[in-house]
Amino acid sequence: MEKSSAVSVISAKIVKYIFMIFFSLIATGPIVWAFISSFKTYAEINSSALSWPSSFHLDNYRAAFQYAPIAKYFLNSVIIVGTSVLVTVALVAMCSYIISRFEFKMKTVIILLISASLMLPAQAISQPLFAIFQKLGIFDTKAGLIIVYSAMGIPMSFFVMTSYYKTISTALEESAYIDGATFLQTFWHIILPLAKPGLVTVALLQFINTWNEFYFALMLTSGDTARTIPIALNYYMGTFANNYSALFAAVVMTVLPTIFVFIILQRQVMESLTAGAVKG
Amino acid sequence: MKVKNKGVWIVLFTTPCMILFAIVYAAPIVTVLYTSFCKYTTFSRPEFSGIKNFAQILGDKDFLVSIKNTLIWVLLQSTFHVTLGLVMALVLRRKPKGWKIVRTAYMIPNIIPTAATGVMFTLLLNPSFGVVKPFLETLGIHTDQVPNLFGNSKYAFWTVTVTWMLYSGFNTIIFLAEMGAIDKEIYEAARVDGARPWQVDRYITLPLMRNIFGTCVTLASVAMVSQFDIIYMTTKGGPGNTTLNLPIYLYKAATLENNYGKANAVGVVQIVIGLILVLAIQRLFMEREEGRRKK
Repeated sequence: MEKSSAVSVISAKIVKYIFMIFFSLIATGPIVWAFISSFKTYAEINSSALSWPSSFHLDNYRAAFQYAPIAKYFLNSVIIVGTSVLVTVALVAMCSYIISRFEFKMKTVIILLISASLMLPAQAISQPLFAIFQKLGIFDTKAGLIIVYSAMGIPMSFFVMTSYYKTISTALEESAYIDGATFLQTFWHIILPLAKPGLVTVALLQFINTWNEFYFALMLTSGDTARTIPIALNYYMGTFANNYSALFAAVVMTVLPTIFVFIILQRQVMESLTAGAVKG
Repeated sequence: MKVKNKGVWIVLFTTPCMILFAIVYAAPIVTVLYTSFCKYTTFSRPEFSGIKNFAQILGDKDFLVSIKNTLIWVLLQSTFHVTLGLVMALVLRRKPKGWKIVRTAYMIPNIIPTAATGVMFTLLLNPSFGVVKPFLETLGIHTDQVPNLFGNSKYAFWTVTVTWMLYSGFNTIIFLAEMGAIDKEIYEAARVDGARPWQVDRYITLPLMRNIFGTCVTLASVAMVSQFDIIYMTTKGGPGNTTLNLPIYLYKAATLENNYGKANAVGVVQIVIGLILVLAIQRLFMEREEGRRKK
């Protein structure tokens, strides 16, 4: 009896580790494989999928830089994503504060509208957006994508922020008002500093979602001025149809920055994603 | 709270948010609803045409296939995929050696651009230089015709499915966070009473995961109703219509056929399906959650 339970404990442990190792490999395997392959020559890639590169050669990266302005796409991404993070955080910081503190007529309407759009599929509204943007003259511009991304971030950020503000006691504000502070002073000097952790959560969430966004970037751009990094891959797929080796380099360059950021900011990223999922 | 000019501040602080909202959400939704009942192409203005668009798509076999595929993916993702994330969380919950590395590694596919995932799998499974050939050879299968997993209608659907179904790291961290919030005293009491580890999980951890499981299922379903990037990068809905889903069908109607009326009718269907799913899932999982959500 004792013996058999010891055996079952050990075998359970083995199964557990096989499970953990299997899924870690499945998750990282394709990326590691692409990374190794990106240093192989065209001939080496074609001769064997599982060999090591004969030397650490960077021609694929050179080709990737040559055929598409990937540095420009990267800069576009930084500008578009950076601005949209700022806009979303600023707008949501204001709007959520009002919702969390005051009662007014339109409040339920606002909450209802925002929660309705939380689950809205992006594709469903893309054609009208395309038409509206063309009319406004912001199709295929960075400003256009910034507007969409900022709005896209509102629903989830809104709920994360509203629930964060509710954890901040109103006592401080009350005494500030009694001391004669104005609304703006109170908001700026008392509330915002206290709300910083919530704002960081929202900013990270917005960063991840927009940095990886593909569909709107595909629908709302047509040239190099506003193409972002994920959409650059689409371009590479077309251009490098026959030059796979450069495609390996391109995909590695798209993926690595994200992985680095994730590993460095791991704890915060996981917390943000969890908050976004649970509160939104 | 007594605030001077309260009304003014309410308006000033909420209006910017609402304007952006109106441009990007409200106006397009109204347009989608209206133009789905119109004859409307790239070259013509919307003109009311009744339910013609809906009649057209309902009579199109590809559309029915894309609804079927979308629903199959929703079903698989909200059962197998979410459960996989839960199982991983149960394994990692007790912090076995290396659990942090596994958690990070498993999360990586969920953090990189989905378009990149698509490209990577296209390369990985390429019949001439991908890993399929060496894999088959290790199994002792030598063949001149290495199967093209994305290009062959026999395999394409399941190949595409695998590119997202196994990657449940996002759900894992959500479950782990929820498990971390469970009162330690409950576990302590169970241990004192002599409960075995699997009994603890079965009778304490799992029942407490009900609500968050519902949240994960909701998110997974919504993601599948709008799944686009990976399919677009790998098969574009093909070969034939084997991997077609609503977003790809809509995209094709709008960009290849230039038929905006039809695209927006599909959009209406997509919104309605998403809505029904979300409401049904909430019903299923969150009956007794009323008080909790308001917190």
